[in-house]
Amino acid sequence: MSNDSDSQMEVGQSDEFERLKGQTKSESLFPKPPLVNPKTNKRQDGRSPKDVRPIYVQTGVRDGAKGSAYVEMGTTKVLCIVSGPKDLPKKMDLSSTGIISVDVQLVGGKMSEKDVILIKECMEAVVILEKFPKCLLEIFLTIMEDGGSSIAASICAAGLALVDSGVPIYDTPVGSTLLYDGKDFYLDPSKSELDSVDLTDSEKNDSGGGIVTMGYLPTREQICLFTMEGKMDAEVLASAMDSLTNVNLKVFAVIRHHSMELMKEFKETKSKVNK
Amino acid sequence: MAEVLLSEEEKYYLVLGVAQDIRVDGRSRLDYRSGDVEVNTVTNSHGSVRIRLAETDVIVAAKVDLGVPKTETPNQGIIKFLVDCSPTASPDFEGRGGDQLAETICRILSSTYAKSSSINLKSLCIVPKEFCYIVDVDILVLQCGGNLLDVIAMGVKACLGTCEIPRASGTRYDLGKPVPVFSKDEFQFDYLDVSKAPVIVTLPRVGRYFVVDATLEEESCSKGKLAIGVAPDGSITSVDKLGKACYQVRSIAASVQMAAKVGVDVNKVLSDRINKLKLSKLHSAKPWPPKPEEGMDVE
Repeated sequence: MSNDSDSQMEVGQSDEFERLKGQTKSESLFPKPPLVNPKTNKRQDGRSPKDVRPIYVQTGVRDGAKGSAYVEMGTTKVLCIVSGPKDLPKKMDLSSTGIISVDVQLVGGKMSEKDVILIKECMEAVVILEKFPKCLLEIFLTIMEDGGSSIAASICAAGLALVDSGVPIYDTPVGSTLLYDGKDFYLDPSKSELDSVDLTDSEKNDSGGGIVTMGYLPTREQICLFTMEGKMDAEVLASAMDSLTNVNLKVFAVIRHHSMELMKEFKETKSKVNK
Repeated sequence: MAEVLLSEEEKYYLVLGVAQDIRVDGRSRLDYRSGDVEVNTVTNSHGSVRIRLAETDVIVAAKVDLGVPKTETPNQGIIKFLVDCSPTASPDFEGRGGDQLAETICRILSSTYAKSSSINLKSLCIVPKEFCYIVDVDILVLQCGGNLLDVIAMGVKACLGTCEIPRASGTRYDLGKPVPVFSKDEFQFDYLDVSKAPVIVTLPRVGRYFVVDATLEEESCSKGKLAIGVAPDGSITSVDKLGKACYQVRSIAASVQMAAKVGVDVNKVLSDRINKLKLSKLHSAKPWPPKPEEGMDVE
């Protein structure tokens, strides 16, 4: 007969089989390291909490495409190719504005549908869709390595590819991610840092915690993508948005520098052709 | 998204009304329409709720199943959401028309419930690594009269709050493997603790102002909206920008504070309602009285 008492799960032994006596509480095989080394106040990869990983951008990486860009944020590597605007396929409904389709490929995995919708809605807010009615603009993103903050890197790559392709856009979008552990903000978190926070733990998370991703149009000072998960106070969220804005401006400085160089090259080649 | 077509003049009229804090139906910008929650509408589920807010009509039903926890979270149960936008709600939902909307709603619900500390998912675990409850929450949109997301979030909270989860009284070991033992009294159940669960406040921007509980007409005046999850203590559990609008930093910050204020009130009203529904369930919905314990122990 079974023991029908209301006690919590008791670990016992069956009569016939010996059960190994060991840990009864499940624990991860790989203990999660703390976000910050308390001695040096540095993160796992040697950054301080407010530091951003190095960024590398390049445009025109694929000759065949109308516009292409390659962005590295730390170990996150994203390639973006833009094709179009071209005629709408016959099966699609006619639209008075342009239509954007976003296709994301994650090497060795699949990006969740929700993140694709987020990126798509961001791009719809960035491209001046009224300029090419009844046309389709295709954005292909390949995330070659996901080292955290892949949505932010995807936005930067897509924005640069749009710049490269010459499609009319309101502004170059930049993106960044922030991690909040209940006490501090960690800017531009890496994959291992994102994995090490458990947002579902209700006992630990009384002080809150969350992940915020923001896409930003720097010259228009507007937000084109915003998503937050976790638990935060309204005031904390406001200050998180402020620091995200600062990071986005830093990212934009890199992108602007690159675009200026592009412009210079373009002018030089143009003058040569004219001569 | 279900949309109505409005002429420029009609939109102008609506926007001007909102600017003067008198909407077309006489509400102010922060007023909700009236609604009602019914419980036990789907009898073969563990908990179900039909929630109506003016014309919007949604059925939420939860089914509790036994399953294996995910390997990443071995001591937590699982809550899954499935949204079905019925073509009866709006002609736009015909075929695959409602898929993107349904996907978006699923994403927001699972980020507010399954990925935050709003519900203690550990209470859904029976034996770590071996057995847990999987709660499948099915949402059927019967009619869409604006403000769909808020209504669904309220329905989900009410449904999870009144959902009857069978009580596992312990574990026994069968051939070296733990097996959960359920109480012999089939009416013994637990309620999930939803005292920290959030509601969602959607704020479309009509003209220069954010409004709560927008009608379909008001939604068609706005390019995008902010969906903000608010816990009963006023903290924010999720923020999502929907649609192709851009916002300034300060307008997002202001709307978040506005949503926090409104959300606390909505949570309070809804929690009272959930408690009343639980009481009414105890008094009605019992087809026969629970059998006495000693009669069952014959072996």
